[in-house]
Amino acid sequence: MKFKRLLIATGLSVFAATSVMASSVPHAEPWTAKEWLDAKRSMPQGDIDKGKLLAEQGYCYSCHGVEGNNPTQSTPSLAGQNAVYTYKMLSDYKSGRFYVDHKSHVMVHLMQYYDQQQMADIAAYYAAQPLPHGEYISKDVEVDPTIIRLVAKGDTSRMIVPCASCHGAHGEGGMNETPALTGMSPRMFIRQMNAYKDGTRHNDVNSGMAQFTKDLTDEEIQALADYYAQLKPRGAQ
Amino acid sequence: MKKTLLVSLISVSALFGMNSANASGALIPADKFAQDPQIPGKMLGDNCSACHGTLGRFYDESMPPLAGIPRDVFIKLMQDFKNEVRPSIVMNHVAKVFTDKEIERMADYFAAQADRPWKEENVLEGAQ
Amino acid sequence: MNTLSRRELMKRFGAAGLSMGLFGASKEAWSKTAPHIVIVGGGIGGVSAAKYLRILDKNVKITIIEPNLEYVFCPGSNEVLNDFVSIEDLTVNYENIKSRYAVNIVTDLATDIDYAGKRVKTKANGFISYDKLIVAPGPDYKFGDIEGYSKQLAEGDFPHAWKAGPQTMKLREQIHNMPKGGVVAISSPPMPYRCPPAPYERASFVAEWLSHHNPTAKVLILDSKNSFTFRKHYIDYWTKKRGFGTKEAMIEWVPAEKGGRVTQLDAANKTLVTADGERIQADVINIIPAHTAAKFTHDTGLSQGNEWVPIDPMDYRSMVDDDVYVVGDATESSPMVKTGYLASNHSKAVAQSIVNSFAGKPPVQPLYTNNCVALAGEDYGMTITDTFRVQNGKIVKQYGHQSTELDNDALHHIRASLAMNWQRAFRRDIFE
Repeated sequence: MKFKRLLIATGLSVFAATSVMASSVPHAEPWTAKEWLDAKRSMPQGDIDKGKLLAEQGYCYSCHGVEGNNPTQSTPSLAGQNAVYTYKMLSDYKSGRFYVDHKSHVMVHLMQYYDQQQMADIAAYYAAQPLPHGEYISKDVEVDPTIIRLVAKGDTSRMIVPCASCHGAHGEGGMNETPALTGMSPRMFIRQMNAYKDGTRHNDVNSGMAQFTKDLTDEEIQALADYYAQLKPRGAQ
Repeated sequence: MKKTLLVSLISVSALFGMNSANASGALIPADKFAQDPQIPGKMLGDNCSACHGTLGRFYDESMPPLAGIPRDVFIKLMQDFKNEVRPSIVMNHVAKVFTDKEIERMADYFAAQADRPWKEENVLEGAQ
Repeated sequence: MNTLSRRELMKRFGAAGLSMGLFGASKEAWSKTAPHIVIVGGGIGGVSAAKYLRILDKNVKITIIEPNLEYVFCPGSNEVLNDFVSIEDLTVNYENIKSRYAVNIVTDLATDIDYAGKRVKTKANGFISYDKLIVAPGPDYKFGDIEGYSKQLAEGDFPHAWKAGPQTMKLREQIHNMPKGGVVAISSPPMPYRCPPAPYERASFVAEWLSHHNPTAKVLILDSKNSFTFRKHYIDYWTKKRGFGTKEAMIEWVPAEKGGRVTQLDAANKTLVTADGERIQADVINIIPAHTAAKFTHDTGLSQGNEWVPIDPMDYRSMVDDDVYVVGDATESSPMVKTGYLASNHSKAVAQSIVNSFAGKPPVQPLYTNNCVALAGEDYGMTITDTFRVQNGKIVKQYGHQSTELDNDALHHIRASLAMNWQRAFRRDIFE
């Protein structure tokens, strides 16, 4: 709706974002901490080989790249991603908890055809692939020291905890369902941060992520995006 | 004279066209067109705009923007589609019609486009 | 062949003409020598031409002559019938094209071309001079092919709704108000016509609405053809969802060889008559008439007495005059089908050719793709990828592929999502 108003305000042709048959998107209440813990406990053990087959047959590569390594910027690479995060995201698409805008449509519909075991298999397969890196670095990116400080130490004046405390010192993710951020496309990063900020993304338990985004400036978000795009996974050359 | 000839040729092809509306045709390999005059990168690339945006610059749709993609990345992606390295929904069938040179020209074209959303573009910048 | 010679054309128009002073209104300070490109028709072909010309050249004057103040996109308009989208979602005006691309919009109807004087005659604004003329008028309908049918009836109780707009809304209203257990009869035209899968997409969306609101109603497709684009997909979907082929079928399809060709409308009795003389009464009658190139192209000699306008496929230049181009559904472009996607790509070739000609260069070698989508429901999409090249002045179909998989529901659903994404991106590529 915001999108539509914005277009009208700027006098551009009006093509409503509502024209995507939104009626068919499932609706679920946001996670409570207990519900998510229960869901996580009942996550099946994933089978990597079955997951590989599902990824190939399910046309995942079409958008997410060969073996989950995608160099374009509108869909994420999945290789090396934390299995719990991938599993949660697939579940959240299925339940409608993750429906940011019309771009979520493909995944929301696709996931209706997958069960928990299959989601766990796909998540296990992608988690077993090496984390990609270095795909989005533009040559002149220089990391601002204040951003390194924000990542490593946080900002107590704004109650922002260090990014690294959940997402890892090398951005490899892993604390609970927190995703790997290393090597992520900057556009993807910014889009997600803004979606947390404006509330369109709210599948984080207890606003665990959204709360930190409210006080970040656009410049900081951009700088964090650039930082994670250039970060190397542990042990990478 | 030239034009009259063209019209009669077109009429013949029209007859075939009537029957072809329902058929998936065989691929004429791209190399069969390698001796034709070159199709410039812009002509090739502007065929992509309905899905990927004007000059490859829609950033808020499911199909990825193409503007600003590094040349080698674009070539790798298209070659993978062309050779069916990655199973895909539409792009295999889009990519397999192009010669390697055409893919390279498209790569140059998209690498040269500004990496920002089309809706921000001031089209008349520089108008007199 | 019925070619209008230049001399005949001269005779028709004479040497005298009105001087034109239309462009005092333009805010852009175009230089006096700036070439003027005039475009007849503000649909997909015409607006693409204007936009892509402006991207290539900031210094030419561009004018679109279009009688309507708004344009309603045809792609997606079948989904208005079951309220998946609203007509407002598909409607645009010309403000953006005017302000962002500095295109003059003349709200008027072009009626003739003075080739010798390089002027277009309009209904209300006299003559408009051009250096290059692009004609993008779309198709017109051959009402006469079905006895008893007419433009007046189409604008009244028997909408064809084959140009999205008020007729689409009328058809929607008729379907929504149909008595319980009623019949919607769709007469599907012979090739070639605009958007080949669309009659079947329409039947699918009508049935979708009926399945929720009028489950004993039926959709009857009476076809002037023996097959159709995406037939396997549609039959698959209808079989799985609409009881196709059973007694309870909500959709029935009658090919021409089984007596499906409609030849007559008995409007007073809401009855269609087929070639076999069978009379079929229906509660809602939707005749999609056979097509021909727009009347404007016949009136101006561009069609040279043919059903469709012959063009040079290198750059869609007309055969009548080197400074006149014709694009889109009105053209003889076989083996291409008639789609908006192709119309917009014709226009890109024209824009490039015109800019080249100002620079004294020949047109570039073109490529025309048709990468389109169709839907059977919100959970079932289809895709087509066609590629055309030009060799020795002929259009060669290098490749044509239609999605074929039948037993992959997830894939159908992805394609449906992609189709809707495509519709939106396509509209934006033309008008944003």
